[in-house]
Amino acid sequence: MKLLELEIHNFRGIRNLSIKPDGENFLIYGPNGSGKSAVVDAIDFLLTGQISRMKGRGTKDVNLKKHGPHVDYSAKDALIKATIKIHGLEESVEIKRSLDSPTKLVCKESIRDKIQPVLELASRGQHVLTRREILNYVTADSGTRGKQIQTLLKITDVEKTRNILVKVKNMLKNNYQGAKSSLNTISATINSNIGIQNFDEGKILEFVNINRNLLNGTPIKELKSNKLKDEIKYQTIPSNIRINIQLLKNDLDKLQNIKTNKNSKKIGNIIRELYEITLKINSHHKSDDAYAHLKLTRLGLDLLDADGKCPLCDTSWQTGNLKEHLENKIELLKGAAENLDRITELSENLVLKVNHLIGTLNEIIKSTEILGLTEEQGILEVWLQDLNMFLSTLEEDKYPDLEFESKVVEILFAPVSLEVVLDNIYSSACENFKEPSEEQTAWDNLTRLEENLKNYEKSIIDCKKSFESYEKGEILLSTFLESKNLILNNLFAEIKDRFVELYKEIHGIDETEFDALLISEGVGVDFKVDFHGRGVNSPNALHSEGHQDTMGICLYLALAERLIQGFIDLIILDDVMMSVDAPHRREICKLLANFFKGRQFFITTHDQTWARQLQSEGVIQSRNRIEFSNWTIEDGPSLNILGDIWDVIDVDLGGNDIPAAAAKLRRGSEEYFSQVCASLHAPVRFKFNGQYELGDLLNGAMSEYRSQLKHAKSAARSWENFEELERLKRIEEHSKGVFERINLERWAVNPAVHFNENNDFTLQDFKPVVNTFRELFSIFQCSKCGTFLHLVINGPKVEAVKCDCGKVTWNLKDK
Amino acid sequence: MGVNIIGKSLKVPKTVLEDVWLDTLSKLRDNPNFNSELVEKIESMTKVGLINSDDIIVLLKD
Repeated sequence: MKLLELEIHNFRGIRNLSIKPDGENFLIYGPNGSGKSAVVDAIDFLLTGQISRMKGRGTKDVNLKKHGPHVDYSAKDALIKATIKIHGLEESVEIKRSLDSPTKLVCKESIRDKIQPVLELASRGQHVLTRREILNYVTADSGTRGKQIQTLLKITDVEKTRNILVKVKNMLKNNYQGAKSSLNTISATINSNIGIQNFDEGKILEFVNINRNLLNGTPIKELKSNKLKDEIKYQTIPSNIRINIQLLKNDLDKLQNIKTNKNSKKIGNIIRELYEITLKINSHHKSDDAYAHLKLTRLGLDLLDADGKCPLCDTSWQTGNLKEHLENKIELLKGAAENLDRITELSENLVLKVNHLIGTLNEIIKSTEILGLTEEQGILEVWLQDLNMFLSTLEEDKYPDLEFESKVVEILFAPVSLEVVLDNIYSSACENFKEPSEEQTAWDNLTRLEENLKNYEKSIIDCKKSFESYEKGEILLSTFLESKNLILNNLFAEIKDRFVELYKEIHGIDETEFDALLISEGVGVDFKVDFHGRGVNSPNALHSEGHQDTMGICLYLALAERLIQGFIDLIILDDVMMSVDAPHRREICKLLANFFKGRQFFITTHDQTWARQLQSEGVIQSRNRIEFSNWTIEDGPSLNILGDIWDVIDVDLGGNDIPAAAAKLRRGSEEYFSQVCASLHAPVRFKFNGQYELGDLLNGAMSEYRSQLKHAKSAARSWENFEELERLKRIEEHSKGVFERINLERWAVNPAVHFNENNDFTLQDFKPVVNTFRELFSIFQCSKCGTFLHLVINGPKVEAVKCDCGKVTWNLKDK
Repeated sequence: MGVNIIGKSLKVPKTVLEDVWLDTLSKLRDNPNFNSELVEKIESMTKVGLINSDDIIVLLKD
């Protein structure tokens, strides 16, 4: 997309403005506060429906509809209109947007799909570079820079997706841990009922067959819930309305056992030891670190694969070296290892005890329900809830802290009123149900186990399924991260190479060895640059502000070029030149002119030298420069067409306003010849105040031109290139004639002449003066590419006078 | 990444996220834990903007 015409009405300090860049580079020059950036805002708004400057930090109270229109005007009065050229369409198209409906771009429906990619890219903010952004690219910390580059490359969405996938993985992990915990609880319930410590299929089967035998059943060989009562017939009341007093007594005894001094002491000791070790770790920052390092190192050792690559940073190690390194590290952390292993051992012991308790408690709670003992049921359910909370703390690796002091835990392990509660339950059960027969207890044992086994089998399936889902979540996340690193590193490598190329082009022999690092660092982007072969550092560590500015420009151009190719040819540089010195600005001009052909730069600046250089180096054609000045609240900026002075002089001549024409010719010539002098390195009599008059500049420019032409002729003679010598002589003859005439007529642009009441300059008198100046201008500029003739200097030697396209070339080197 | 020219119409360059998903999905196709149907379902989710964690969880639990 290129900008052909732009109209702005009542928008951000501009009342009415119409410019015609015609798809070529365009320059707005003017002091601070003259409204330059408002034009940039207008283009930004036209393409995105937003104003970038009015978003972000510190803009909370800034409102597009309220602060977008020019002061005293409303949103409906603010309109931006442009004629643009977009790829894939022969005809230019008109688009417009009003602050009244910022989200609505008005254009022909037939072109909407063609313009959509342009708008999509513009919404990524890839077309505007401001001074503030340069700082964000260069001097900011990695996180801020990362955000800036992420927004530009639209990497923010990659980070959002990564976070979503991390969340998915964690949720699936929690599901899996939940399923594992259920499995542990149900296993513990089975163990508790049977009276074994650990889940053992052989022992459970033995228990089943003893009970089957009492019921005249044959032994079974496979432990399956649906096989436990195979071929056994026993008539009884369903277990959900009946209590087996003997089994209840067993369960109650187990709970009573908790209260025994021996057991309480045992549990208390475990808790106390856990608490003390944890306290020791937490009270020493270094030991806390050692503990975390140990866990990580052990995990690293587990994840180590055959090629010996580090599982954390993917760095390749020689086979076996990393394994040895990790083992040595674990050896060094021996003290921490002892504590960690002891914590794990104590925790596992506690988990086992708690699971047993929960299993038993569940059975007793069923009995309270049958007996209708709501108060006792409530007490036991609160206890069950506390135990489950304690269990999850242990399973989540959050070892006991202050909340789990031994006293608290003692209460947690047995409510104060436990004995009374259990007595009530047993008495009530004895009152309501008679002592069971041996066969009844065997049947009830099988029934209880049948139910528990069903839950166990279901838990096994749940656990397997949830593990598979968790594994998929983990694979999805790790694959995404692997791809992210691959894509970003390739992208950053390309951008870095182009950045280095552009930067070296600007700084020439000063930075021939320059290199940089641009790498993804966590969620940020790390950017470091080399300083004269002395190693890489942050850009603001050793380089000057000017160098940092050029880095920002080069990095932005490399990024923008990578992203908007073929869609938005328009690149806006809003007052980006601050600390760059004049010679390097010239190089930046050359870079824009030669490295970005086909692009349209829209440049604003308050810097007159930069504005002149942009023209003298051929970045900006004279007709595409405007100057803003004298901004007022009523009218916005005054507009001076700096571009083609001949057009505006012709207008004055047409109106017979000779003093006005003379003033414009003088002012235009002063500006023109200051650029000529800069390009030719012409000697101009130094003035401390820097206010050079036309006479100073003209003499310097003409004298240098003559001098270099003389050198060129001498060089041609030394090469015996007589054809070139003749050509140079013709140039000399022509310029000599123009210089002589200008020396005769230049007094006519002297201001004193035109402010003299007695002057009687007529149109006929002044027109030839204008024509001579016009001829003079053309001597210093290439007729083909429009650039100023400039010296080509290599080290201390002046080698040639050239224009950018090479049409004008004078060799100055002797044979 | 880059400019895709399809016939005469131009498509907006892919975002980095689109590139990352393209590479991720191609790797998942070679992973035995992910069958082609699952990869296709994930792919269709990525086409409509940012993925939703709940939808992905349902998909992975299936």
